[in-house]
Amino acid sequence: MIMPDGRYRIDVDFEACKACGYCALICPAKIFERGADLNKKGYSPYRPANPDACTGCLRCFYMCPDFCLEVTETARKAKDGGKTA
Amino acid sequence: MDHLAERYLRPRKIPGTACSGCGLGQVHKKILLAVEQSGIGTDDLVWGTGIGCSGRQTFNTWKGDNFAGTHGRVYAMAVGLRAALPEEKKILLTVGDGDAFGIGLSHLLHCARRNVGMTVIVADNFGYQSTGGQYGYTTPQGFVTDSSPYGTHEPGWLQGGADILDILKSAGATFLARYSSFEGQKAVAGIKKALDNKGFSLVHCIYPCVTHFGAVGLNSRDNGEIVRWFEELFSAKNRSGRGPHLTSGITHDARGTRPEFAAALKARTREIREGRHVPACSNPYLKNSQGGAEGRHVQA
Repeated sequence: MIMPDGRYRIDVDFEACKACGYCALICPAKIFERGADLNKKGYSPYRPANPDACTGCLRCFYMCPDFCLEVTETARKAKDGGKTA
Repeated sequence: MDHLAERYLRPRKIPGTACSGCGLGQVHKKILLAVEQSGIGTDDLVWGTGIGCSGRQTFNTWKGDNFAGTHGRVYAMAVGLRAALPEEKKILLTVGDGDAFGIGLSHLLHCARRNVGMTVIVADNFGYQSTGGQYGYTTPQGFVTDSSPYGTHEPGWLQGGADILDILKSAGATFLARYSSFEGQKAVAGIKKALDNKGFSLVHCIYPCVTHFGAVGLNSRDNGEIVRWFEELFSAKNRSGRGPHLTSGITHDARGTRPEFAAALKARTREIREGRHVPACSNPYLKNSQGGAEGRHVQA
């Protein structure tokens, strides 16, 4: 999932997520929301609904117990609005 | 899968079989972050696991060499490995509270006494959760569990004036720290120092079990409720009076103050072989009472 306008890219591995909800609980910017689709394990994984609000604090990354969440800094938010990301 | 899992863990083991909301993965991740930030590769570290949730979930996940111990005996096996492996090879053990602070406590104390070069990460979920949620050695007093329907009747290792880390300190451990699995870089920095120690290090990481301890002991499987209770444990203000009062951080840092077991053993063996060693007292059973290369049993 590439978010070209934001400074950070948030990936949630749909099949690995167990929908524990720690990411949504800890995120100060309330970025995550629970999705409606079920994965093969029968969980409905969380997804970054509002990734542009991410400040890169990495709290969700430290909290995710299932190695399924990655926060990557794309290019610095450039003057062109991050189109170079 | 995130970059840590891709780099260090075997893909067939991730995602693991842990319950949704289990905090063990948070501890596991902090170890891998410390490994990454210390520049340790998969060939530089041997990973041993105990029995229980912590052993089950971390066993054979490490891409490098790894082994599983029997319940509470993984420390004894690690002592043998320590003596056999080169000094620069690190040994890391992920074990549970029952394994470390109960069943294997004696082995653990002897590793601390000998300052055996190993890093023990005790992933503590307040009891025996993989067998259905029986109380253990860190279960807070009064908490209802599968085996204590009226609440546990005795204090654990974290209450009643006792702290297991104080006992390990007295036994001779050279690095001790305690964190909750919800902590971030602070916990990673502690584990990094533990890995850096050429001696016995132990990091006590408390993590939530939502399925048993949460559902029965805290009456809630809600993550928010459980996170709040954890924050309370580490809060100076605490409080509701539920559970022990804990302090997060490094509790004892004496790195480099005591000789490491395997290094000292190898140096001693070399001295004896070369006839340079001076015994504390003479041995009447050795011909050469000063010891040395010719020393052997006296023939009648």
